[in-house]
Order: sequence, then C-alpha cells, then structure tokens
Amino acid sequence: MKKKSLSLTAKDRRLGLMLLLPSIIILCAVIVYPMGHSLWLSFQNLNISNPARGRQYVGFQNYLEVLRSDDWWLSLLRILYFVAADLLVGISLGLGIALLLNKERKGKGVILAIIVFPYVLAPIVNSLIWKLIYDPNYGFLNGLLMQLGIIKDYVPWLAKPTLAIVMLIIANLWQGTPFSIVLFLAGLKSIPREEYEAAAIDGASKSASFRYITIPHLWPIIYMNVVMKTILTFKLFDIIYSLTGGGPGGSTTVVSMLIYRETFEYMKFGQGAAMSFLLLILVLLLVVIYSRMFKEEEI
Amino acid sequence: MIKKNRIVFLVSLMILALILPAMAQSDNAVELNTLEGPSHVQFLAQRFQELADAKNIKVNLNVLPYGRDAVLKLVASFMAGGSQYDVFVLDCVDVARYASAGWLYPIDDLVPDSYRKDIIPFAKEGMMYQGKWYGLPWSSEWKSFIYNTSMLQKEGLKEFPKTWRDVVAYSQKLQKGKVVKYATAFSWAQKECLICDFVALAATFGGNFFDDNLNPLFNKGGAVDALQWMIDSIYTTKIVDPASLMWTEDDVQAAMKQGDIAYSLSWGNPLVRMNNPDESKVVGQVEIGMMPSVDGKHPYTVAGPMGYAISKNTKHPKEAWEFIKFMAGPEGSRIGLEREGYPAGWKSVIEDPQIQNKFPELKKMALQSQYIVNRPAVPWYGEFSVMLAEELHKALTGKMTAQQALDEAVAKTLEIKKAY
Repeated sequence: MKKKSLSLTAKDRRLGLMLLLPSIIILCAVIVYPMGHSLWLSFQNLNISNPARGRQYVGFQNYLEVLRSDDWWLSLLRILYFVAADLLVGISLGLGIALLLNKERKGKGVILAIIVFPYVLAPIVNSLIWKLIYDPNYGFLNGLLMQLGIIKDYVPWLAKPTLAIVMLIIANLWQGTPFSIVLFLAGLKSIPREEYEAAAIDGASKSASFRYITIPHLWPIIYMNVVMKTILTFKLFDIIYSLTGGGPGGSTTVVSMLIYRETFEYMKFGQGAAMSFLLLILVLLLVVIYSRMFKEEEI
Repeated sequence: MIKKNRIVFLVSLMILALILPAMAQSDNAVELNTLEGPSHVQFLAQRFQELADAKNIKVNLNVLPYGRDAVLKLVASFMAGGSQYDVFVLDCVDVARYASAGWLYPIDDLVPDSYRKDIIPFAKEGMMYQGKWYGLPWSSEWKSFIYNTSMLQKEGLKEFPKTWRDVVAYSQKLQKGKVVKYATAFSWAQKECLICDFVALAATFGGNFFDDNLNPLFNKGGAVDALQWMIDSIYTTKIVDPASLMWTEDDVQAAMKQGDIAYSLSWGNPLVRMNNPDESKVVGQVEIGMMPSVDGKHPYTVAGPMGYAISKNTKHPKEAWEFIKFMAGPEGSRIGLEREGYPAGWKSVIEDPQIQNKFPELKKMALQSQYIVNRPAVPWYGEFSVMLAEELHKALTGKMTAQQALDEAVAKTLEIKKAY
C-alpha cells in the first residue's frame, strides 16, 4: 500500500493561504499600516493645527529633540518608579495573596471574586473610585484615617508632588495586583503535591519547600508577570489622566502622558510618533534583558 | 394568477422603497451638522426644531464632551475638508488657532450694524482674531466673585472686601471665629482652570500677559505679585484650602454649595445654581460682588466667551449664518438666557428691564462686565496653556519661586512661539 505523504500539496497551501487571507488583510489594515504610517510620521515635522507650514521631512530630528528634552527623561524616570514599585510590591503581594488563597478554605471563591474585582472594572471606573477615595474633604481615606486617629487634619493627597506619585502607585497596584494573583494561583495549582510530600518526608522545612519547589515551578509565571507588568505599567495613562492630569507641578507626568500631550494637545504628530517609537524600543529592550536574565536563572 | 399578483406586489414594494426616501428629501430642507457639548441637549433639540419650522433648516446635533474631545474631532474634520460640521460652538481660546489655520468662515460682511452696536466688547473680542470676526456670542460668561453673606454676618462683616488685603483679613477673621475651616478655595488644578484664575488675578494686580507683538510680559510686575499672592494664600496666610491644587471649577462650586467656604469665583450666573435647593445648602445666602484687586481700582475678572461659528468649507454658508443668527443673535440669546440661563453677550438683552426683573443679579453682574479680560489670543494657545499651567503649579507646590516659575514660563513661551 502506498504511503500518503504528510507534506502539504500546493493545493492545500493555496487553500491555507486563502483561509488566512482575511485575517492578514485585517491585521495589515489595523496594525501594520498604522504602525508604518506612524513610523513615517516620526520622521516628519507635522503640526496639524498649523496647516500653513505643512509637513517637512526632518530625518531623525524628532528623535534627537526628544532625547535632548528634560521632560522626556524626567517622565521616563517617573514611569520607571511606577514599574519598579509594580514589580517589587505588586509581584510580591500577588504571590503572597495567591499562596494564602491556594489553601482550601470556606468562602475562598467569594474572596477570590472580591480580589479580582478591580481587575475586571474598566480603568476609568477604577480611576473615578480612587478620585472619591482620595477626595480631600469628602474622601474615604481621610475619613478613615481621621476616625482611627492617625491624622489630625485632612490631607490633600494629590496636591503634594511627592505624595501624589505614591498615591497613584497605590491606585495602580490595587488595579494591577489581581492579574498577578490569578497567574500565580494557576501556577500553584500546577505544582504536583507529591513533590511537597516527598520533601516533607525528607525533613524539608516549609521555607525550604518554598525555595526549592514552589519558586522553581513558578519561575515562568514570575517571568510572565515581570514582562506583562512592565508593558502594562509603561503604558499607564487612565489613572494619571483622571486623578492628577500630570500634576501637581508636572510631578506625575509619565511617558504616556507626554506622548498624549504632544500628539493630541499640541497636535505635533511627528514628535508624538517619535516618542512612541522610542518607548517601544525601550520596552522591547527591557523584555530582551528580562528574557536573558530569566534564561540564565533557569540554567 | 396568484404568482403574478405576488410579483406585481413585490415590484410595487421595490418601487415604493426607491421613491419614498426621495419624497422625504423633496421638502428642500437644507441639513446642517453641528457639534455641541453635552449640556442643555433638550433645549438645543427644541430650538433646532423651532428653526426647522421657521426657516426650513434641519440641524443634526452631534454631542461630544466639551474640551479636548471636541477640539480633536473638529480639527480632524477640518483636515478632512471642513464640511463635516457646518456650524459649531467655538471657545474663545481656539479662535486664533482655527482662524490662523483658515478653518473659520469670517462673518464681518454678514453682521448687521445693529449687532455691532449691541454686542458686549469682551464677547466680540473673544470671537475676533487679527481684526476679523468669526462668531456670534453664545454663553458669554465670566467669573464672578461670590460671597456667602450669612457667614460674613456671623463675624459682623457687613461689606464685601475691595482689596486682596481685605480678603485676607476677612478670611482670617472667619477662620479664627471657626465659621469656616478655609475661607475660600480656587480651581488651581494643573489644568485650564488654573490659567483662567491666574489671568484674572494677574489683571487685578495690574499685570499684563503679552505686548502687541506677542512678546510675553507675565514675568514682571503684577503677574508675579499675583502668583506670589496665590502661593502665600495657601502657605502663609492659609486662607485658601490646599485642596485647591487638585480642584477644578466644579469642585469649588460644590464646596460653595455645601457651605464649606465663604468666597469663591464662579462662571456664568452663579446664583442659578447656588439658589437651587436640589443641589445647594446655601439657598438665599450667596451674593455677587465685584472682584477684589490689589488697590481696589482693578476689579478685573476673566472671561470665557464662547460663540457659534461657521466652518470655512461648509456647503451651506447662507443657512449656517441663518442658524447662528437664530441661536446666538440677540433674540436667540434672550431665549437661551430665559429658558436655560445662558449668559448673553448682547447689551440689549442684559439691560432689558424684563430680563433684569427675572434675574435681578444681572445688574450686579453688568457692573463686573465692564472689567473683563480675555485669555491671550494666540494661535499656539493649546501648547502655551499646558506649559503655563505646569510652571504655575511648580510655584504653587513649592518647587520654584514665583519669579523662577514665570521666568521659565516666559522662556518656554518664546520657544513655542518661535517653533510655531
């Protein structure tokens, strides 16, 4: 009997291509073309509110101007502060809560639903909730701290530069940590019980089990958390836009705010596009670094 | 036979489907598209219907949140040919930008003499750029200084303060007497509202923003004094609620309506809202006064006149002019004021005894209307305003002194002007 070949015939390939074609066209229309156009814009001097000047090809001038600007570097430092807080506090908190929730207990499902709630809310709704919480005169936070006797006077949380950024980080953690919890919970479920039982028989302490069994198994989840949180935090916009608008005194103006401002308020599309691509390069660079770091750890 | 009848029935349906839409269009009504903010939508729909009945002009209402969203949508429509919106509400701060880009239809040749004599100067100035007129006034408002008289009476304060020094003294008395925690609050969030308040305060200290060649002057004299007063009012005299640094006008108004503060600045006709028992706890307690100033002789305030304007490339300029006359001419403005409280930009309306009987506070407001300044009319206002708000905030949050912040703002203004 003649064996049927496993390789695709030209007809199969054509059919496959035909089936993929609609998706390819849509992807090109909504991703490839806008990105290509945006890249092209980044080499143009284009202020659409000044049509008399038209657009001029300026090469890398937009990129150089961005890199020379203090605002860019300051906003980058601010978002790195957000990222660092999100990675250190957010991931530790996510892992801690996931470990607590991993144990079988009554009402676990309800607790999990409450914890995941901020993640399923629309970001703008989250922002409005935090606006109410931080309200200096009628806010929940001031009310609570006053009743507990921790503060003597109402604090305008978002009116002080150093405090405002911390309050935004807390609001962002509240929104982002459930994502880590869900990922870690899924990871913890996949660790075989037998490994813990064997370790216990061998006399391993709980901390040793955590160090040598839990963490190695969760390593890919930690990697995914770090990458996703970095990407999500770098594009953080909603909370900052609605709570402080970049203030007070520009102290919460991060890169995404700067890009928005340059593009949609100043209408300088060329510079806005250049900033976006610089941000893209930076995030890609960080992901490559992470991937190498985690690969080395695995070895 | 039945089959034949069915075919005839289907063919008739198809013919009707083709004819009916054409018949619907055959009333020769011209359709205009307009872009508006989300407030007073019912009133607008009612007025548009009245226009359709009177002039056979149909208006399609497009609603977007006021501010950046509307600006972006408008700019996109202008870039795409400018006929998407025939008429739209225009903020005074956008006039220079749109006019210099050639996106607005000048109405100088259309405006009758009676309008020229009747319009309140600041309302006209807000709709002009380089000597050309681009819109009729619609919601010609300014910020009034308002007082909670019940609170003042508790401390025996019978007169309204005339100078900023009086304001500080009165406020400290109210705070000392535990009438209020903070006597006043301002909208000093790092947004456009801060620019509005700063423009008003700078004018009351005798400061100027630009000379005739658009060279910035606001790092000298009165403007610096005004910013210093703002800083002192939070940290030294402590009469302003520090929450002001995160508040917009809505927050200040809410505090005033709750009876948390004794003075504030408020757009439009503040008494309409302050005396509404559904939303205010200070009904009948608030009065309008003149703006305090450094010497009692510069009681200026800031205006935010808006207008109805026509898109340069509209296909129906004649009907568009009919529309803005109907909505924002003296008669249309009177209806807007009577039915919805829209501040009118016409003398004949605000000085009308019938209107003044209905809104007695207009007499006091009319006094303030003689001392009004607009924000700078520059085509690069969008970028300038964002930058200035940030620099002012650096001073208000103690990162810089008033002089340093304004010097930096002036340097950046020159860069923006040069790059435009």
